[in-house]
Amino acid sequence: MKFDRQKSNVWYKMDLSAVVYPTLQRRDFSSVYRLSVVLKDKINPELLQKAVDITMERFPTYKVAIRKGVFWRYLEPNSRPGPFVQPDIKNPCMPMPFKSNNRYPVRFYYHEKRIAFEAHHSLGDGTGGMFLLQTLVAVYLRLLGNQVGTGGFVLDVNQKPDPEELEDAYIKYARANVCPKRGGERAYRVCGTKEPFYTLNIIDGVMSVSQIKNVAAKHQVTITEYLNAVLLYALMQKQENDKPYKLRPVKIAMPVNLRQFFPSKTLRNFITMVYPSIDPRLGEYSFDEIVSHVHYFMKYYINEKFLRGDITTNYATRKNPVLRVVPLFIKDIVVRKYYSMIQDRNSSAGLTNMGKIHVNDDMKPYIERFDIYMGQPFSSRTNCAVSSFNDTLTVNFASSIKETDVEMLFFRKLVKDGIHVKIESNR
Amino acid sequence: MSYCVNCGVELDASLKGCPLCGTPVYNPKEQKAEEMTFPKRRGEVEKISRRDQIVFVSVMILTIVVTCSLLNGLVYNSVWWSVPVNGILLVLWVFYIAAVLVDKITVYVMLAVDALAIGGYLYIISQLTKNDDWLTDVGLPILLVSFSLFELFIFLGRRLPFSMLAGTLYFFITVAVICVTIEICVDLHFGGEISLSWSAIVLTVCLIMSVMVAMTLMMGRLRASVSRRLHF
Repeated sequence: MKFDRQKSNVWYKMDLSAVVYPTLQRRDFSSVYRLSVVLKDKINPELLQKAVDITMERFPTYKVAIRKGVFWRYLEPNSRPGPFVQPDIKNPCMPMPFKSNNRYPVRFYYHEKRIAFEAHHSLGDGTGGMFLLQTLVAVYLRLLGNQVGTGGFVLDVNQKPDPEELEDAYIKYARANVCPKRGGERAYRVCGTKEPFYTLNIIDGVMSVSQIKNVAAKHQVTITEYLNAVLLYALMQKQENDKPYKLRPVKIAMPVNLRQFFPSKTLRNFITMVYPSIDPRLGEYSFDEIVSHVHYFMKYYINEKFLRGDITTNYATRKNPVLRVVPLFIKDIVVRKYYSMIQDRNSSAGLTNMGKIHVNDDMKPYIERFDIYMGQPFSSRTNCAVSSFNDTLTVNFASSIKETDVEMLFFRKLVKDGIHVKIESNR
Repeated sequence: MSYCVNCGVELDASLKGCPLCGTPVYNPKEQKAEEMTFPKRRGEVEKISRRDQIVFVSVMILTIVVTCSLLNGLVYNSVWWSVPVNGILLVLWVFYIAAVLVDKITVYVMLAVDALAIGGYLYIISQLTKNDDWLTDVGLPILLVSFSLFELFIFLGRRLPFSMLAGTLYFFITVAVICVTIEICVDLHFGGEISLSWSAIVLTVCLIMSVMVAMTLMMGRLRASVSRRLHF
């Protein structure tokens, strides 16, 4: 085999968000998310493997291995065999040791009509993953003999990747003149019984987009704001039922897709977190008050100015010359400690909304629905991911604890508001 | 289609109960689901071969052992200083190998191998000092008691429901027994008579703490209240 010197010199720096995720790696935890699509026909594994082989070449920042340097980790192109498709498992998003799976930090599964893609968050965020998944589905459908064009989330597999797809977009936009400080009071934490190793409990709620849109419209808010309010309401009730010694604010960690505000084609991470919250110590909140509180919070914080300030603060830490020369193993210890002591305690649950998933018209007839899982939470709590396609909205809860109180309170509130919810689960 | 009578949600045909509240599904007319929404197969993380790591560590330790032996034999040869140094390196190597192989051998065997390695090291030292009284009177009894307690600790931790409180209880009992054993052995070795002094204080403190923890463990309501108040 001819040695390709030019190819061997290629490597990618971790983006600003990606540096944190490998640090949190434990024997029983990896920052892995899952995107899956349900098609109308049963999956052919041989064709799917062919489609994966073709698609992965188009996504060089996903066909990589995570390597350790002296000061930072980095991504190195991976030419080992794989990644291979495999039958789906009951416990998705299981830990992903960097040396396993021929060093590929991605996995592909199939089950009946479903194709699932799991990736380590160091490679990219949900939007980047969605580009890969939809391109894979398009290639798979073409191999089946269907006519599927490119556009939207489907990239042309015969084209070379645009350099902008591989860039760290944070650097481009972290240009605010000031680094706003962050407040970070400890939030209420769901106290649950940890499940044994390898368990990820999933509860999916499937509902109609038009129904939930009508209910949100009655409150004069968007679907995201309404669902955030319902989750805050459920967490607030859960805290009340726990009868804790001391009440704490209830906060949700919500990733915001920065591509909506800063034009970028990047397939890597380009998100930042906002924390909608309510403080029950100030008094009793009615649901309407929570909805309106969340609505104004979103209006105030989710805009180009605030988000630019936020990413500038993040980037300033990365740029700090003292931090940069600290060896990686010390950085790992400090970051892990900081995350578990401060960052993780800063929120009661996670909620991500990928919103309406756009699918190009050629592919629409073959697709039933999409599911998104935020993966295993770092601590004993629950994570929630929302997405919609056509008139189907799915709310996917994933947790590693036995209790289902938050999910129960959440879905009961939706039912009470007149929304028909269908529940699926691996419990 | 079935609905949960408590939550009001529709349940997938593959579900036997409501996953939210646990209410079982009872629908005599329900058709069996043709396909499972979630697969039954349980995934397991691929095991990583540690052969390279074992070879690297073993070669490193062997190099140090050979170098020390050569230095001791050829250059600094007034005393056999390399024996305890090489001995401790070999003990560390055994610890490392046993820990790496813990998936293949059980944790009980791992501890036994560790204890044997320490016992062997103590024996070498006793031969070097040409005095084995301390070994039979103090060294081996303390090693045996510590080893048995660790084995018991792990056995209880695995067989009984383990919690922070249970762990704390085992910890206090272990500390008390080890301290008392140390003082008894030392007393017997030097004076031939047992008179507990400092270990009696440790024993008292550990006993009080153990009783408090055991009480909390036994009283469900108290335990719930403590865990609620201490949750973080």
